[in-house]
Amino acid sequence: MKKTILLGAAALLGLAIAPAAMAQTVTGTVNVTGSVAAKCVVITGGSGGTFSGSIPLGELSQADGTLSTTLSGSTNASPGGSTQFRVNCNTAAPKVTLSSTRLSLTPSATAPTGYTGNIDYTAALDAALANSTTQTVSYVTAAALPAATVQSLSSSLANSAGNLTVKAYALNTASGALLMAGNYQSTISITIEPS
Amino acid sequence: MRSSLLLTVAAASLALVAASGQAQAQSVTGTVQVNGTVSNRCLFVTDNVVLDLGELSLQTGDVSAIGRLDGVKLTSRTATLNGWCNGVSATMAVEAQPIFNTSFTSTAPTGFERRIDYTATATASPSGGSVSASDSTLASGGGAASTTGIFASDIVVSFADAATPAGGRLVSGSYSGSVAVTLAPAT
Repeated sequence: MKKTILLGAAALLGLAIAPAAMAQTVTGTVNVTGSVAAKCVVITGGSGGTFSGSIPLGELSQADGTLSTTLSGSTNASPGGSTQFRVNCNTAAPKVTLSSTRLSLTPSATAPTGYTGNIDYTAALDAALANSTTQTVSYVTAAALPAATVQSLSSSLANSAGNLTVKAYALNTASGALLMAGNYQSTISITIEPS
Repeated sequence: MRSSLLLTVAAASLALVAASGQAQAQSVTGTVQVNGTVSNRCLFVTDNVVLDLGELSLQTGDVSAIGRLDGVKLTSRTATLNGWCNGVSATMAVEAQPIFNTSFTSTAPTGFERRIDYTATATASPSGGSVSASDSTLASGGGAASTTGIFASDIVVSFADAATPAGGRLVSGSYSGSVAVTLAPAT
């Protein structure tokens, strides 16, 4: 009787050991991803997607009635006037589109012979870049306005105050033309796209 | 195996979200107003002309007229200035001063005179047509201003109505008068 009991116990032990030797493990992988949308945002000089400013040039004529030589001789380095903005873009080569109208007598009037109510000039956008250089995008007005200047920046915009400077310089009229009295206005239009 | 499939689906879903964000890339637009002014201004390019009339008295002809003013000496002459105004409200006015004998300044004896009166007219040529302004030395002060508007042209000064006060003979000497033309940018 005793023997029978021992054999039974051994059989039970054998069954208990067998499942433990066949145990299986599992592994899982979770990929966490996200994205940053390409964007440009106005920081100073406006808000959201728009910015605006003005460049007051003051008196345009000199004593003899012709265009001020200070304005006609102005350059990018020494412009007739300028204003600054800050736009942050998070892409490597933001695209700039720049155009302008002529600086014209407003309201317009027909100019007698020898006079003019239109002044052409160079509108420029100097972009401070992250690589510590400055890239100039320019547009020169004319009687027949040329297509807008479209240019991709060679580097990201600098993450700094006043990273965009808009300038007006190299004003010009027909040689010897007298400027009609009144107020003159022009509009420079700028679009900056992330890529 | 089933767990692995579920994770792959989740990753694909995140990728779609990322792609959606790039489609909404934001651009910015800016506008800069450039402005300036040109003041109303007038300027003479030629602001001074000396008109030498020569002998002012009649030298020949009717004996009774000899020695009296030869008006043609003045009325046949013109003087040309040149100037411009750049404003639509610009005006031009004339003030003429009599021609006096500057050598003989006393009261002229009876029958003689030392003053010549006349009417001076200045004419500018804006593109819309000539504009004139006049003044007679018989009237005190200057003449009424005329609106020239914008122009750049010669300003021709002509003379008319030359006469002495009583038609007497002219006292010998040097005579001098003047015509002032004033261009005003705006009234």
